[in-house]
Amino acid sequence: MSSFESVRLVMIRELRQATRKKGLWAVFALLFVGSTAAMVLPEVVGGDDSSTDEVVVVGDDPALVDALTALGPALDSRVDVTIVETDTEAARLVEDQEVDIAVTSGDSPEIIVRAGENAALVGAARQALYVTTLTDRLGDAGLSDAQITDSLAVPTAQLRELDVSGQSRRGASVVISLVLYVLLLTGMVQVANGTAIEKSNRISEMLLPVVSPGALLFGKVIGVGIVNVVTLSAGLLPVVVKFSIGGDLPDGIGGALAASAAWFALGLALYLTLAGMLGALVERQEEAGQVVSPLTYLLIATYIAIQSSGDGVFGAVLAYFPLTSPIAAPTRIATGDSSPVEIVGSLVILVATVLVAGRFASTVYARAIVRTGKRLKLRDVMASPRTRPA
Amino acid sequence: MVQDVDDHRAANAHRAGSDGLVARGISQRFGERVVLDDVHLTVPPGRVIGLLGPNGAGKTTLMRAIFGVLEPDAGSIEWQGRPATADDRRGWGYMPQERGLYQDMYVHEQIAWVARLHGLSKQRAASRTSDLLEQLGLGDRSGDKVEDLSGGMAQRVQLAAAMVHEPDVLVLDEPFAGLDPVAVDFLFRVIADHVDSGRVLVLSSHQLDLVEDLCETITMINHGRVVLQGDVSTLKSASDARFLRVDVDVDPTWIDGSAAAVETSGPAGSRLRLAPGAQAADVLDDIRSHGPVGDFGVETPTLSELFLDAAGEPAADVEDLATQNVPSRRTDVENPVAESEEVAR
Repeated sequence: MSSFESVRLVMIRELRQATRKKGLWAVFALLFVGSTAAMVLPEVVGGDDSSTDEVVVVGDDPALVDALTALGPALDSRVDVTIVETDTEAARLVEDQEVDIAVTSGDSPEIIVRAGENAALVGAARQALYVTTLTDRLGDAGLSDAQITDSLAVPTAQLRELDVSGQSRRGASVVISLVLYVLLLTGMVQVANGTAIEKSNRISEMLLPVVSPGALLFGKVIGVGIVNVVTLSAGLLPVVVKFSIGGDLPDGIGGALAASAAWFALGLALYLTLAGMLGALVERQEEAGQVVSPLTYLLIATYIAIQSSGDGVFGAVLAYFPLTSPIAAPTRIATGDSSPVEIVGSLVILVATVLVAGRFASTVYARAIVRTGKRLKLRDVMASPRTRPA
Repeated sequence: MVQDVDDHRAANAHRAGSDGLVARGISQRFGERVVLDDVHLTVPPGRVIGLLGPNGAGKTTLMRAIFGVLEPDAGSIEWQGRPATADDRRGWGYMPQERGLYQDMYVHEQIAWVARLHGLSKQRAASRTSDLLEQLGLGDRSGDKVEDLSGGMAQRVQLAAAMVHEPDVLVLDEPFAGLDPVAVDFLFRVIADHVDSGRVLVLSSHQLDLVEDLCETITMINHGRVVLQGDVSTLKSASDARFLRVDVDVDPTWIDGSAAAVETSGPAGSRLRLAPGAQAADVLDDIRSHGPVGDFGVETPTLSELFLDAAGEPAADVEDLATQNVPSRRTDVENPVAESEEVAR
């Protein structure tokens, strides 16, 4: 049987066992529901912005009605205007929240609104009152309709939008680094635990005559890695669906997610392989958490550092260093702080490190997994007798 | 004497022939500790070969070396007259001393998975697993998780994992540890079936007396060195040691002045070691002078006693060993292999 087939069988076992754990499905469901809510709720809650503004006008004033109705495009909504006879009725409608505002015309025009609400609509209504009053006065002054129209036709201001996407990109980077951090941490503990169980229960003793240590290690790493990727996909699926049907996504999130995939896969490979190696050093499952704690602390420190000072030179260093780049590089890509050189350099260094770490880890794993009795130190393992080729 | 040892090894290796398993000159050291020192083991097909010795003697290390889990400092493992390869080993079956099974896997699924690792097709692995579990009396538990089985059942599942691919070589490391008498009897039959089909089997045990009637050929090791090697019947008949068994509780004072010493005694009977050249009838007369003897016999040494003689353990320790769980003790044997060969001749 080829090594590839051994790795595949070990991986399939990991996947099968993982899918039988209720905890995985709970996390899966939580991520899916949470992500779906995050994508759908803004559409639902924000729906009022493009809906209808209800306005009542006291008395018969067709010019004012026309002016108010014409406000719709400016307010990104449709303005429905109804006419009532008295101020009292208008005030009641506003108070009962049946309409948004009420407007009275005449010599002493008035706008009735619930305190603190509909500021934009109030401003637009003031503008409508100003235009109708001015039109009336110009007519009283003897100007023809054409002259009045010319007088009111002022140049339309050009809209100059400032780039405010940095805020949303920063938000995207927080989300991405948090997700990567959590998944790396979870996967790492899973691999270390699994390896420690196989060693403490002497399962490895039964398997090693049949399967090479490398196949055992990498089959587990790939299996757990796939479980984590699938779990992540539960959170990504609603984002992808919304993006594919033309929904609005926070600026920078799509590209950042795509760029993150490479670092995520390589980061998983690196951290999970190292976790498998460290898990082989312990004698009891309870020690698995302790033995991977240096990697855990490194992940935590990286997450904090990249959030606090990820945009400077220090952030760039973190993006190059292979143990921190799986979190740092995608974060800097999301915030737009990384250069093409940095992206390529970070990726090359990480790939090289994964290859070296894989070889080193499989050697340590092969030597440590058969040595039982007490927790081992790395230097002792490296000085120990050779085992079969990893 | 060294020449004799070499001749014996050569003869054994020749008997293993081109279709047997040979561990040749295996040495292993962990730090300053010598775990195996130039150990030879030959395992011809069709015979039950016992690798015996106290706990810590190096048996498990040798088995790990046989399976390539550990690459020894010196020596080689040969199969059918050539160095064993990983592919050869994939066709062998190994039941480790410390049982290892995934507790949260279903029985049938786990055994079939192990069969796949040994290279069986999916269909073959499934059918072979079903057949084997039926044979082992686990057919109705194949859908249970291992963690839900009793210890004895889990042992049988472990055996199934070692045998599911119908191995050419079956290596059982302390197979009787923790088994109840029914399970021991069952395992005896499994072992007999395996060797009767002309395949290779080697088992290790520190329970020397338990495997006495099972093993045809033994290799005893102590502190990593071979101290006794050969066919059980030959070793016993070649031994100078003779024992008198009587069905009475013998007081040592009864045989003061006799050429014998009480080895074990109790309400069920006594066992006395006869000095070289001693007449059993004279000793029996001494005992009879203190009371009637209903049953008696002159016996050859047990494996425990052979081990003690070969390893040079002090006589005071014989009872401990003979009553089981042979403790690991440092001996001062100058040349235990030579001594064992002398006994064998």
